[in-house]
Amino acid sequence: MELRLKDSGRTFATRWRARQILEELPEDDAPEISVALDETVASPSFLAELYVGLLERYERVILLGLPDQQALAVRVAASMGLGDRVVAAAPAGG
Amino acid sequence: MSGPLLPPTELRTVADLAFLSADRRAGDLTIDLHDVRWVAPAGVVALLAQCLGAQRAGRRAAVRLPRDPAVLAYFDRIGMYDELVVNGWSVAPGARAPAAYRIHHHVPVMRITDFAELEEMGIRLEGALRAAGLASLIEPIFTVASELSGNARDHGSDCYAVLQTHTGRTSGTPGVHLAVADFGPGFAANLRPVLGDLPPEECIARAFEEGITSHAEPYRGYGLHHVALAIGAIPGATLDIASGGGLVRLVGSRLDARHFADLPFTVASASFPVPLPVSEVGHGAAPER
Repeated sequence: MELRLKDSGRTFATRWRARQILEELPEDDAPEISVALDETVASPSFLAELYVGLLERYERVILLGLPDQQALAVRVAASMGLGDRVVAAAPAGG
Repeated sequence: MSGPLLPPTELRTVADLAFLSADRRAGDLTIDLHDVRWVAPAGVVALLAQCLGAQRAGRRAAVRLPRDPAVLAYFDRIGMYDELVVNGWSVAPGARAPAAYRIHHHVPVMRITDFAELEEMGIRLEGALRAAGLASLIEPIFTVASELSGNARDHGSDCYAVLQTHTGRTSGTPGVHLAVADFGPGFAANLRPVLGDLPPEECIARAFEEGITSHAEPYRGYGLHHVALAIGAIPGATLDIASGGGLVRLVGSRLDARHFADLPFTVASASFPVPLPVSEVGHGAAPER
């Protein structure tokens, strides 16, 4: 399953939006979920709440998006000790 | 009734806001800005938070407007004048200044009452920074603005936020300035149940550590840590936070904490002294003469 943040309606995402996204997430039996970060500026609190909510349902979270957009997302995961379960996707063609 | 609160003639930094602690928090609140010649963004949001806090406590709040036309024009441009008048906090509502004053690329002062408005502020912030040629600052400044404002919202407080760019032609620091103020319980009141009876400045300082929070959820306590990282990533950037009798200043990775006046609100002021495009030089700073 792929979660596209820009489909949640706003470019800027706070933890309030994380709660909304998690509440609206459909049932899914897959072991991992991809999160597309493009066109979204996410606050650290948004990412932290999203990660914890997603990891209650999935084994791994794969971060999609351009490298500069992934940087904060990866730092937040690392600071929470979730670096082994929240990982950046390999660049396309690389 | 208490006498009017008299500020220094220039409200440039968070440290200049100590005069607001003289409010006895009973009877009417009057703030006399008549002789003020400079108000930085931290002063804008702090004055509004003080008035809103007084109003919420059932007190009448009134601000005597500055006589300096440059400061009045700045108030007009940044939206402070309207906020004072709309809320009935202006002593002389007819004293609007001519709109000759120019300040480029700003987000007018906003009262943020929910997270949707906080995200709306992000959109305005992006517009201001893109117009100033500072798109690379969108993420770190949104991190700072959203985490500081979001914490206030989580504790049930409205907050005021404002962002502006300065050219620094005549004075001021070139770059981007952001300020947020709220009248929530503050760092010390929130964190003492977790950290123990520490001085307020130490409570603020500890809040920057990973995982320090008054909330039980495992995802809480990381926002301010990443605010510190955002400040540290931009050379010369600073963050000042005053809350509950403590004042913390973060410059790069260095954090200084000291005792300060016990303000009835929490105020945070971030400065990003990045050079502005050459085309910006020569336009208005705040306030410019």
